[in-house]
Amino acid sequence: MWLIDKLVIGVSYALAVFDRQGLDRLVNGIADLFASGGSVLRTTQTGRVQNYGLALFGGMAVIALVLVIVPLVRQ
Amino acid sequence: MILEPNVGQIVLQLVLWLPAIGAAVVALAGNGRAEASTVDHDHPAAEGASLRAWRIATFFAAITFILAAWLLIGFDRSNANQYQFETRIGWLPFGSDYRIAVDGLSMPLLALNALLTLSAVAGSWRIAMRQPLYFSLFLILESAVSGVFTAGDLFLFFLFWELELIPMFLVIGIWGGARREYAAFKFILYTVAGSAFMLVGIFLVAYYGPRPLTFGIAELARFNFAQYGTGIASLGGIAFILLFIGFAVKVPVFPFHTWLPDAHVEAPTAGSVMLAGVLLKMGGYGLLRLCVTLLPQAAHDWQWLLIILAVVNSIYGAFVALAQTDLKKMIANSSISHMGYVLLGVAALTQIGFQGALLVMVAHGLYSGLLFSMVGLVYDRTHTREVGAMSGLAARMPFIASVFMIAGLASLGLPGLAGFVAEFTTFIGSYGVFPLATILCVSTIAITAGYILWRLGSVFFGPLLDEWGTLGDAIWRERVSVGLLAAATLLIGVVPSVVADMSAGGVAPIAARLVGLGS
Amino acid sequence: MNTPIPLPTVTAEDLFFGLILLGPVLVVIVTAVVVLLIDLIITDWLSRRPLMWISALGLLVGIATCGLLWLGGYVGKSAFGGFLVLDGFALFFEALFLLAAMLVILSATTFADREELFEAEFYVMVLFSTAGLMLMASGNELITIYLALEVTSLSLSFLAAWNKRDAIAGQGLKSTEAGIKFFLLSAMSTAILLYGMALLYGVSGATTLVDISRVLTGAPSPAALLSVTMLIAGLGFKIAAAPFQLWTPDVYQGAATPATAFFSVGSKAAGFAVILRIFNGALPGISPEWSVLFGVLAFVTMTAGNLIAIVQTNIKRLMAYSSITHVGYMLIGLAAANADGSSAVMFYLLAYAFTNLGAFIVITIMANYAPDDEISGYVGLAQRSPVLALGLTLALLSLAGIPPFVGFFAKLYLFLAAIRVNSVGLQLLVIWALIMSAVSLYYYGRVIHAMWMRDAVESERVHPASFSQGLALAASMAGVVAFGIFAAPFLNAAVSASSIFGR
Repeated sequence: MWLIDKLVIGVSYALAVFDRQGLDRLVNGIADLFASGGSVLRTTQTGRVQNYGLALFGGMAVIALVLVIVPLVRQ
Repeated sequence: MILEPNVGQIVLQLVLWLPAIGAAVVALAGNGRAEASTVDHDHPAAEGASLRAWRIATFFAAITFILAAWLLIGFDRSNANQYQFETRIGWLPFGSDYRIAVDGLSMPLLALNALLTLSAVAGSWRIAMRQPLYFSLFLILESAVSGVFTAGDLFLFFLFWELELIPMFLVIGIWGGARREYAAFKFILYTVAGSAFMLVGIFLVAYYGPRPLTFGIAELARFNFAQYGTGIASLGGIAFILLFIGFAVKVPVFPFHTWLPDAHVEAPTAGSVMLAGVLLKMGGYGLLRLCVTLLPQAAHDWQWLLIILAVVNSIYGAFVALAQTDLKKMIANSSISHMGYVLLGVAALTQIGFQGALLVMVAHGLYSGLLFSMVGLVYDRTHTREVGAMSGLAARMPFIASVFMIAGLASLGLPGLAGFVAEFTTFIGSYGVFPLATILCVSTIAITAGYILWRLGSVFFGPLLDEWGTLGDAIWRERVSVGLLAAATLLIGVVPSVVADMSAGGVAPIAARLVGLGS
Repeated sequence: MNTPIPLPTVTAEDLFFGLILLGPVLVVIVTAVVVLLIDLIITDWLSRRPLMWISALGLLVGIATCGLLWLGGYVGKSAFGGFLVLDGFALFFEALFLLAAMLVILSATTFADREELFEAEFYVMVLFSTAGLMLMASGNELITIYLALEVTSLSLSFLAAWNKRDAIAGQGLKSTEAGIKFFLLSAMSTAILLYGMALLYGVSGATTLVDISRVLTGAPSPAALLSVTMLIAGLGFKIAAAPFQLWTPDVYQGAATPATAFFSVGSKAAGFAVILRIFNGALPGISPEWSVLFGVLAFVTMTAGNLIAIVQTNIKRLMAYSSITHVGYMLIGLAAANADGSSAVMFYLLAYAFTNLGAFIVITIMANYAPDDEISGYVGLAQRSPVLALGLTLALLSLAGIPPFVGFFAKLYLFLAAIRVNSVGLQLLVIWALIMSAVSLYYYGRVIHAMWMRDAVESERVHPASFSQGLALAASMAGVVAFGIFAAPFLNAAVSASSIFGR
C-alpha cells in the first residue's frame, strides 16, 4: 500500500510544481511580453521634432505607397 | 406561502439594490469612535477600532438575507421553469432592456449570495483599517453578483459581471496578504481578458439572433442558432467557445485557473469566502444560462472538450491540493477540483447532470465559504497557515475544530451534509453518458478525503504544541457568522429539497433544448 | 474633363441668414473680444477672476443660442451657398465644445492663480479655439474647414505655450517646447492637408462636400487615392492617430494641465467631426479603400498607445497615451463606414469628453501637490482626499470600460456597431480592441493602486483650489456616472445626427 501512497504523493508534488513553475510562468510571460513591447515602442518617442516630422511624412508615404503606387504598378 | 408576483417583484429589486444603498450609507456614515468592547486578547490590533461600519453593514446584509430567504420560501416551485417576480423596463435603444427575474436555476444562487455576504460581513468585525470602504465594497459586490444571477438580458448580465471586478480588486489589494498587489492585478487582468472573449460571444449571439436586435435571454433562448450550421467551427460553435473562455476563467477551468490560488491565498478571509463561495459560481451559472441554453447544438458539438476539462479539473485540483502545506492554498485547489464536478454535470448534457451541477455549486458555496472562514479564524489566532506549524489545536479551540471538520467532511461528500446529495446527483446524471469520466471523478473523492482528513487531522488533533497553549476559541460574533453557514450546510444535507426541488424545474428548459440533438 | 462648378452668388439676405446660423460662434468670439478688451483696459492690480466668470457666462449663452436655434427650427439649414450647415451633427459638436470649454475654463484656477502667468490670455485663447472648433464642425466645404482648422491650430499653439513663464518644476521650458512642437508639426500637417484638398478639388472640380460626392463614384483614380492619403495624414495629426501621434505625449505633458484637457477633448472631437464629414459626406463612393485604411490605422494606434502606456510613470504622459489608444478604438467606428459607426463615434466622443475632463481636472487640482505629475505623487490620495481619489478612479474606470460608467456603454456600442458590419476583419479588430482594453486596465489600475492601496507619505489634505474647480469636477463626474445608465437620449441624438450620412 505504501507504494500507492508514494505514487499518489509523488504525482501531486509533480503537478504542484508544474502548476507553479510551468503554467504560472507562462501566464506571467505573456504579461511581460506586452510590457516589453511597450518598452520597445517607447523608443520611437525620441523627443526630437525633426523625427516626428519625418514620421508624419514617412507614415503618409508608406500609406501612399500601399494605397496608390502598388495598384498602379500592378496594372 | 407563495409570494404574490407584485410583492415578489419589489422584494427582488430590494434584494438586488439594498446592498448598494447600504454601501453608500456605510461609506458616508461609517466612521465612528473607538469602542472598548472590541478589546480582544487574541487580536490586539482590533483594540480601539470602531464597530460602527461593521454594524451598519451587517444590518444591511442581514435585511437582504431575510428578504432573499423570503423569496426562496415564496418561490413557486411548481413553476420553477418560469421566470418569476420579473421586472422589465425599456432601456437602451439597441435592443437591451432592464430585465430582472429569478427562476429555479438562479433562485438558489441568489439566496447563497445573500447568505455568504451576511456571513462574510458579520465575520469581518476584526478589520481595523478603513472599515467604511471595506464594508461598502463588500455590499457593492453583493449587488453586482445578485445582478449577474438575476439579469435577463445579456448586456445587463455583462454589466453586472464586470461590476464585481473592482470591489474584489480593491479588497484583495488593500486588506490582503503579503503579495496582495500581485494577486489583485492577476485576478482582475485575467478575468477581464476572459470576459473580452465572452463579450464577443455575446455580440455574435445577439447579432446573428432574431431581428429586431435583442439581447434578451428569453428571446435568444428560443432562437435556433443551429440554422447557421453545426460543428465546432460553425457560428454556434465559435460563439460557444468564446463564451466558454470567459466563463472558464471564472469557474475556473484548467488551464485558466492559475489566478485562483494567488487570489484566494492573498485575499482577506471574507474576500476568500466571497470569491470561492459566489464568484466562482458566476462562471458555472454562465455556462448553464448562456452557453448551454442559447447554443444547445454547439454544446453538443463541444461536449468532448467539456468532459475532458471536467476530469482534468477534478484530478488536477485534487492532486495539487494534496501537495500543499498552506491551508488556504489547499482549500483553493480543492475548489478547482470541486468545480470540476460542476463541469462534469454540465458536460453530461442531461437534466439530472445540470441539477447536480447546480447543487454542487450551492453546496460548494456553503462549505468552501465555511472552510475559508475557519482558516481565517485559525489564522487570526496562530498567525500561520502552515500545516506543519500547527498541531493539537482542538484542545484549545473545540468549536473551531468541530466546525472546521464539518466543513471538511462536507467537502468530501459525507452523507448528511450538503456535499453528498450534490455530488451524488451529478454522478448519476453523468454516469449514463460518460461512465469512465464519472468513475475518474468519483475516485478523486478519495484524494479529497486524503488531504482533508490528513491535514485537518494534523492541525487539530495530535499533541498540542507549547506555543499554541494560550489560544482562545471563537467568540460569539464569530460563532454566529460561521454558525449560519454550518447550519445551512447541515440543512441542505438533511433536507436538500429546500433547493433541490426548484433546481429540477430550473434546469428543465435547458435540458429540453437538448432533446433530439443526435448522440 | 471636370468643369469647375461655379461658386454660388450670395445676397444680403443670405449673409444675414448665415450670421444667424453662426450665432453660437459669434457669441463666443464676442465674449473673447470682450474679455480681451477688459483685460487690456483695467489696471494690473485688479483681479482677473471675474473674466473667468464672464467667459463661462459667454459659453453658457452660446449653449443657449444652440438651444434656441434648435427650437427655432434652424436645424438642417445651410448658408453661404452650402459652405456652412447647421445640422444635428454640427449642433451636437458645438454643444460639446462649449461644454468642454466651460469646464476647462472653470477648472484652470490652479494655474491661473500663479503670478507669472497671464490669466486672461488663457480664457481668450480657449474661447478663440472653441470658435474655431465649432466652425470646423459646421463647415460643409473644404476651404471653410481648412480656414477653421487654421484658426484653431494657431490658438491651440498659443494655448500649449501659455505656461511658458511657469517656474514650478520646470514647467515653463516644457510648455514652450510643447508650443513650438505643436506649431511646427501642425503647420506641416495642415500643409499636407491642403495639398490633399487641392488634389481632391482637382479630381472632382468642386469644393463642397456634397458636390464632390456626386463626382467621385466608381473606381477611384490614383489622384483621388493620393488625396485620401494626404487628408488622412493631415487630419490624423489632429486626432493623434498613429503614425502621426508622436507629438501627443510631449505636448500633453508640457502644456498646462487645463490646456492639455482642452487639447485632448476639443481638438480630438473636432478632428473626428471633420473626418466624419469629409469621408462620409464627400467620399462615400470610395469607402472600401479608406475603410480598410482606417482599420489598419486603428490597429496600429490602439496597440502602440496601449503598449507604451504600460511603461509610463508620469500621469500626464499616461493620459496622452490613453488618448491615443481611445482614438484607436474610435477609428474602428470609422472603419465601419456607416451611419451606425458614425453615431457610435459621436457618442464615444461625448463620453470621452466628460471622462477625460474629469480626470484632467483632478490632475489640475493635484498640480500644486504633485508638481512633477508623477504617479508617485498620487500615493495614498484616497486618504488625503477621498473625493478627489474617487473622482479620478471613476474617470479611469470609465476610460478602461468598466461599468456602470459611460465609457463602458460607449465602448460596447462602438464595438457592436463594428460587429454589425459583418466583415471578418472588423470582427477580429474588435476582439483585439477588447484584449487591448483588458491590457489598459493594467496602467489605469496602477494609478488606482497608488491612490488606494498605498498609504499616504504626506498627510497634507488635498483641496480644490477654488469653488469653480469643484463645480467643474462635480459636473464631469455627474456626466461620467449618469450618461451611461441614462444613455438613451444621447444615443438617439447621435443616431439622428448621423442620419445625414445615409447608410
